[in-house]
Amino acid sequence: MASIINSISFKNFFNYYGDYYDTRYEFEEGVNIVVADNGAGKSKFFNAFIWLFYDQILDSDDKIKKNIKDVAVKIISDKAKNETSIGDNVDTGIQIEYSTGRFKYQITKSFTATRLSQKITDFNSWQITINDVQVNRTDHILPKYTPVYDADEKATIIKQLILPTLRQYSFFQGEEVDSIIDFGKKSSIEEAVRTLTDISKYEELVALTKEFKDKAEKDLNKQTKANSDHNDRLDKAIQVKQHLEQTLSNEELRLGEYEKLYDDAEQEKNDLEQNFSNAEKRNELDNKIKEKNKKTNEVAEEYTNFLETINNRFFDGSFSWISLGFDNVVEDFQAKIQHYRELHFEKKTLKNINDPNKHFHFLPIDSPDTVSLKNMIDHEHCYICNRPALKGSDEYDYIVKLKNRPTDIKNDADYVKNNFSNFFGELQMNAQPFYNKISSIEDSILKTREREDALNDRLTKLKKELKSLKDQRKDLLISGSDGEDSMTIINRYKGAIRRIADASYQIEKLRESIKKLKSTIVTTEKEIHDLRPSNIPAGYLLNYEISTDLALATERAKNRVFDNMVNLLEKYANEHFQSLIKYNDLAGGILKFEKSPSGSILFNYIDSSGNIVHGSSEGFQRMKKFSVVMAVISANTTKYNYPLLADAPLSAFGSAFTEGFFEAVGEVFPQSIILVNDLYENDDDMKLNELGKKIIKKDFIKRVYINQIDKNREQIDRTTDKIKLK
Amino acid sequence: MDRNQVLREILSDEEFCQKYDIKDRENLTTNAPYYNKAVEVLSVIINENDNNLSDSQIYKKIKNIHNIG
Repeated sequence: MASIINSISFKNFFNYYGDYYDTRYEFEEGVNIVVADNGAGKSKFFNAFIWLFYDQILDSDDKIKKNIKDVAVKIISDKAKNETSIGDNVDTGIQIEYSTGRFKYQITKSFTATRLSQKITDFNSWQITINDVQVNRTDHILPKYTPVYDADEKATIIKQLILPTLRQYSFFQGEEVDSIIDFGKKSSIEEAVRTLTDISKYEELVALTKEFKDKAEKDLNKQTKANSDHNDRLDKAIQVKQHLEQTLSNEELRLGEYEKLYDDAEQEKNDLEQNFSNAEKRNELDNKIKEKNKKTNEVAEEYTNFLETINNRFFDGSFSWISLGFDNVVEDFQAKIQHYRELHFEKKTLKNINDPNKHFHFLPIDSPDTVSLKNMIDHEHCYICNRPALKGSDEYDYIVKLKNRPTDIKNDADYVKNNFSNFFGELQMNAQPFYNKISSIEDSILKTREREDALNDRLTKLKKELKSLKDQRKDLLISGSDGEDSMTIINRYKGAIRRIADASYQIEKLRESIKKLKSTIVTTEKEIHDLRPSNIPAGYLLNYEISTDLALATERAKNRVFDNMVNLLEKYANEHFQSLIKYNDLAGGILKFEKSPSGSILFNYIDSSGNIVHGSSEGFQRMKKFSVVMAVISANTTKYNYPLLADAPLSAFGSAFTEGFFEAVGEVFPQSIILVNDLYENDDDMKLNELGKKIIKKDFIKRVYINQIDKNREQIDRTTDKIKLK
Repeated sequence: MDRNQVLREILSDEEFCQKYDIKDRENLTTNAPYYNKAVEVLSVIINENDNNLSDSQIYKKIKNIHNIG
């Protein structure tokens, strides 16, 4: 019966804050999905299984797997750490429940940390004690778990959740698919076949039968020599055969060397394949980026200049924008200036002057004269109006003021406080060019605005195009290597192709030569057989004959088993591939496994016209490899009994493959727990994108959880909250 | 690994079976009694390799089959 994970719970494990019952995720047979945005706990979730299987954690800082004890402080939830007083303990752990047909198991791995000092992130602030792994078991009849005490039994229970030899096909993070199946490496497909077929047993038998053949031949030759009837011709034939065999052995060694050269070149070619196609694309993109950058800068400069000239349009007589909205000002100005003038002249005609003395003189200039004024002061009497002007009175003071007046000062006060004639005149003069333009300003602004929008749109479009090109280039850098310039990669790739061709030629030549040698050896053997003395015990002859034939038959059986499995893998890989691309518009085409001259398996995608398709996207490459991973599972002679645990397997697939992926894994694995962010949509109420909403409606999707983290909170307050959608 | 399955796989070689007149291949097992020397030798190799006998020990057994030990 298959192992089915029933639940996983965490205790203060990274952001999974709280006790096991707070963070329990329940799963069923079929496809289970945990959807989480980046940073919302997918890899941490996956880490729980790395802890379970290997007592390690993948450190997200340097992507290196480290022992639990060495990184324990990093694992404890910061919130839990913060809430632990100095001298107190905090427990951190994972708890997994899984069932097989007969039993249900509960496995708990945990450690206790004692806080020693203030700084919670400091490793020296905590003392770590790793607790014994706890394994409990129930037979589905007893309501309660009973503990398992035997350490070996505990280890076996953990191991059988997913057998170590199959974990690489059933327990992986997205990019690991690339290394699981690397068809450039001869060992990669061989490893898959080995897992599936016990081909190593056939290899042992091949080695044994060859050895027995050599031993049987030696025994036979010994018998021949011991016999008095032997002759020189026989000795010579045996020597010739030995020489031929030595030559054959040398040629086979050389063949091995060329096969290695071929494999290395093929490996380099495959390693560079993505980079080569990236390098070419990168070159092309670099040129496009350069051109687009130039154009963008030109338009940006034009736009900036344009914006700078906008201010001038307010005051430039050709545009006169400043006078927008002043349409009535001319009439207003005319009315006001008319009014002003009227008032001006009214004042001038003394209509409203209250104290004319302040403005006008009624006596001739400089009269009364100084002598008369002195006489009036001395006699304290005004002789003009014949009234007394006693000292200290206003009249007296006025006479004194008149006597002291400066002779050259104009005594007139202006008849208005301010005279705006000049101001209004200048205003009228300056405003003249503006008010002629008032009627066309709106149109002018509109045209300017249109021009600004056009330039802005053009600039935005160019920037977008530039960003897209840069993103494309960035994507190429992620999948390829930026350490080398494009030309080096192209040259290395071409070099690898040349070496493959050279090695192929040599391998072909050597195989031809080996074939001839083998044929000559067979002829020589016949000659030896005929020349052997007739009185050699039949057992020696039969031993040699059977050994020779068995060595050949076993070798052929080994090759047959290998080829059959490769064919089976090819068949299943194509079936799964078709499922994966079901919702994609990829037309036709098949995956083809072909033996290279060195005997390794070449894995190609052949289009409907029979041509090999090169340089596919990273996502497509991974999809092909995933088809093979699933083929390995399907080709297993017994039913595959282990769940698939995959973190971000879709990261490079592209949305068109996603739907097919979930369907396909549902058909291959009895249970899948897939951690993805590809279905996450922060702005949606359900936190699912449209594809996610479509997928969760499918019957084979059994459980769906959404992980949420409040990114606005401080790290020490962060917790992972789950929403169960299905 | 199923020893009988390996035996049958190796003996699915037409040329070999014809030469040593091996019949009823589907029902052959690595267990005695053997009715054919070639089958007997192969069975001994398969069984004793599985039993972790050394190469020399297995070869001695083969020689015994041929009465040349």
